[in-house]
Amino acid sequence: MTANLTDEQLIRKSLDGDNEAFGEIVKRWERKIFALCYGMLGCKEEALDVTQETFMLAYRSLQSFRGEAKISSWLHRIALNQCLTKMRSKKNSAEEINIESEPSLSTAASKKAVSPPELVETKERAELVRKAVRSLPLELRQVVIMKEFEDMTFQQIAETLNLPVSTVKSRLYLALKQLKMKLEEKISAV
Amino acid sequence: MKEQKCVFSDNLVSYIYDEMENKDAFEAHLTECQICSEELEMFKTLRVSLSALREQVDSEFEPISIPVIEKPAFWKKLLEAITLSNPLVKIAFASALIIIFSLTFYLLTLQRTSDLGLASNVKVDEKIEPQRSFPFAESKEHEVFTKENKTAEVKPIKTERQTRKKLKPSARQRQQLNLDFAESEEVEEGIRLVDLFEKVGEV
Ligand SMILES: [Zn+2]
Repeated sequence: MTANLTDEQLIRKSLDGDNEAFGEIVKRWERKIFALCYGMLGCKEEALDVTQETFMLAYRSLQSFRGEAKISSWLHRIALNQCLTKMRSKKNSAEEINIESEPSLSTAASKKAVSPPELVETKERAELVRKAVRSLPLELRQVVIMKEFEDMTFQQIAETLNLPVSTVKSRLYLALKQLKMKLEEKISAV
Repeated sequence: MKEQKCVFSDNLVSYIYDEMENKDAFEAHLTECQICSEELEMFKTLRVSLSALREQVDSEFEPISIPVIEKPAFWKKLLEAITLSNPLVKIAFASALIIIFSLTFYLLTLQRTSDLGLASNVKVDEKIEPQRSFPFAESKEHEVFTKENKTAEVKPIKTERQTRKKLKPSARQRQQLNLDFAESEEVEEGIRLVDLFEKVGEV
């Protein structure tokens, strides 16, 4: 019933206390928000936590949603803020892990022994790319994630980040260039 | 070692992500520009690597579970706020409640009195029995009408009160009413309902 409603209609229903409507919002956007958080944080568990926090926070501040921005932009901004908070708290904590030595993709190591070689290769490559993405400066990282993991248009990214489209394009160009360099470094180091 | 960059380099991303309007013109440029064509190949390879990470991310997605999203009702919030508050706030809240109840009770009493045809203006003897001519005595709740029990006995429900309000007598009618009432004080032989019931019982 709620599946064919627009995001805006769902928000209005949620404001009227319809929990099912907000559930539909979650269903629509959780995958993308998770991808964004995973890309930003580089860790599945943290990404799941932050995704959940994002939707909880969005629900609690529904009243403050003015409808000037799109729901997706609003959710992305909350998620990015939550990611930043997470990163800062990690940085401040004594358990701060070096990017190079942080835990690998949760399943990569355990499946290595029983997986076919091409799968191992894919996973290893994914692991290298993940580290390379993780080492990009924040402003470049978020653009490349939104484009590559979420298939957002330049216009959508620009709206979400409150940037001119031209800036988004040049940041993406820079991000790809840096990624390429970082990957080459990592591959040569292996 | 300075990176080489073509003036159209930024357009390269529009081309790769298929968001370019004039593709033909750029493709023509690609055949002439070595920097752009090399970067294009480089980015294509990079995107294959990025898609491996994307697959990984997609495969690790788990639907989140949001703990029962329920907005606490107003009363629940209020109760929570009170229970968590300090004793002073609790006392203040209790006092406020008592005042509100007393005020409501008082207002309701006033309302009933005025509903009953300005009975307060009338000097009522301690035990005046309602007369059949009393315009609002049709309802059984007014069968016994004394000063002491008028509030206890008269419990009109909302709808009744609404009809009564409509029936509220005008100033002239009130005067008439008071007269009727005053007359009735003199008439000692008015038929009492109790007597009437007794008579009915005899038949
Ligand atoms: Zn060029």
